Amino acid sequence: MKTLIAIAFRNLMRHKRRTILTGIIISVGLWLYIFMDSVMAGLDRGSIDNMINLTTSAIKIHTEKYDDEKESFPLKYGLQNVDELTLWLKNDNRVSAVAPRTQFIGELSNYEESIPVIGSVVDPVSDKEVFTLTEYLDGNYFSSESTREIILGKELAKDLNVTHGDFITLYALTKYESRNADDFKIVGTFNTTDPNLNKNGVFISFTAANQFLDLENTVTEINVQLKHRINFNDLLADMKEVRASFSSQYPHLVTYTFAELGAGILELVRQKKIWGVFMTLVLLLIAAVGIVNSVLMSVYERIREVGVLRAMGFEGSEIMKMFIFEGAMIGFLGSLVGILLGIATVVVLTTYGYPLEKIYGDMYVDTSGFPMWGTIYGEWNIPLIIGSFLFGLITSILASIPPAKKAAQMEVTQAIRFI
Amino acid sequence: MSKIFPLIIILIITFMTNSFSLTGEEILAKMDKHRDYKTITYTGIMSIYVKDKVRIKNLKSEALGGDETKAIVEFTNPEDEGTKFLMLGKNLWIYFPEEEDVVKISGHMLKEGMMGSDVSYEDALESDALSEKYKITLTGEEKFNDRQCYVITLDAKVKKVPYYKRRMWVDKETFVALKEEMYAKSGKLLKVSNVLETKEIGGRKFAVKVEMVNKLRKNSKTVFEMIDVVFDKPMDEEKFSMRYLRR
Repeated sequence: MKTLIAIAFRNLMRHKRRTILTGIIISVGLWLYIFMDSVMAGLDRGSIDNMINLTTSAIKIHTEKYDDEKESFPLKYGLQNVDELTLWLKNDNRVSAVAPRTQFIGELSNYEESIPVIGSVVDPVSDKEVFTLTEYLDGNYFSSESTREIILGKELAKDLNVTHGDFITLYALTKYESRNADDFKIVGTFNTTDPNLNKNGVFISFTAANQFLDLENTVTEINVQLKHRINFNDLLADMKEVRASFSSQYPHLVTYTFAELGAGILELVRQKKIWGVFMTLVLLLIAAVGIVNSVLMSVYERIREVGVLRAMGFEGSEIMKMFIFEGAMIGFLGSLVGILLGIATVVVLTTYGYPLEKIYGDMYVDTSGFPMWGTIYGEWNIPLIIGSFLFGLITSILASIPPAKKAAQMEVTQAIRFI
Repeated sequence: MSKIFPLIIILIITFMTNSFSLTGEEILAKMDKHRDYKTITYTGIMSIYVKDKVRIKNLKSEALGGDETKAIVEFTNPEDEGTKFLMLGKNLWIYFPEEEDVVKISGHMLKEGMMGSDVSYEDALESDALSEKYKITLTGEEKFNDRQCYVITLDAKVKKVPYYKRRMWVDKETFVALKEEMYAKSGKLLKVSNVLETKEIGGRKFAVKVEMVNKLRKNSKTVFEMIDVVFDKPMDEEKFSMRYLRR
């Protein structure tokens, strides 16, 4: 056995160019596969994180009555004892921050035209701890006396032909369903990863809303952010546990986790994964054909050598084993280099990320919630890396069996004369 | 005596002037009385102007007056043909013929423009006694469209009102509100309605063409015209039911 392995190794060294070429095919194939998987998984996680950090948060809490009419964002069904609820949530060590918000429907007018908007009333201090709006902000956030200040989406500002420093008229119904309209100073505009928010989202502070909407500090939703988890399934499990524990304490309140709030995007990711598996199978088949082809070539090039070996007394089974060893060695080395390159790339992707704006520039892409700008980080997929290595190795071994078998069955004279 | 006499004259004049002038609430009551009917039927044309475009909607309406207005409205223009509204007091349902479905309009939706117009469902449904929600003051007299008018101001007494402040120009002779301004809580002018045409029907002056101008949008207004208006024609109450709405 040792002799056969030694011969196989020497054969590989004798045909360095061919060995390297076959190895490179395997390495590049596996490296690209690991790289693409990390990018795609990172894009999915990026979309989910962006949605959690910008609009949904990890857990949302309403009253039952609000929940029944939530499509119209009724201001009359506020939560009671918001401070007590916030304190209770903050005592859970999985919770990183809590922020109240109150959403309302309105219109923004420049007296030329008016555009329907969805407004969010925020507490400027706690909102920054839960949501990442300020990361996308151009201009200023709310000042300490933000009585008539507004922040709006860049697309919305563009449609209304306004910018920072301009005044714009916001129209909405008060808590008592009376019409109100007032001028607000635009202190900032945002261009987030959520196109809907950019097109129809406006933000005002509770100080402003108490006056403008007769809000009387009404909070219709509490948003909860959880501590970061590398594995998304762990985050989902945390959400479920925090919700269960909160609901047992406050059963009269309605709570949603991202599993429900982001059901659409999660389903999209799931569908993508199903297609991903299908695409992976196709890619692996192509890669396997490449590997088979390379190993086949290396066997057929050396049929005459097989004849000589047979003439020297080598058994058919020994020759077959020798070729399988060669295939396994190429597969091992190629796969090893491939996954090492893959691991190095994933390290870079998870550490530094890749800025999508450099790919798309200023181009506006309506992706219905999927981010097309911002920095996206890669994701680790250890089972996939191990699987890729085994795939490269096994495919190379399997690919060497048919030609090795053929070589082993050849007559000595036929093999020597083989061109 | 010579000093007391003019004083008595002044007091008499003051008393007579006050006894003949109306208060804001009395003007409003007279307006309501002039608008009062047992039944009304008419054909309506709603012209919705947005920027340089105009959309026309035709409708037929039948309504019962009294304490609780009941009305059924059916649209007849090709785009909305078969769409029906049923108003019972402050409740409104819309029947959509294509979906064969009835939707109740409530909450926030009542504040939206009716069929995309500048008249909200709430504006159309308003039946509350204004005096319960507003402090009504006669703030002056002015000429509007060559008609001598009382100007009355309505200031909200409660928070739950469609508009915080309203000003009405009421014809002194016919008690038709020829113009109304509707203000937001902030004091901003939101809408203005102007009567474009009145007609003598059944022995009373009645506004048959009214425009509602949205002051938050440029070139946005809705003109509503009523033709073939008939008052107090006998009417079958069965019409004002969900069963009839779906028919």
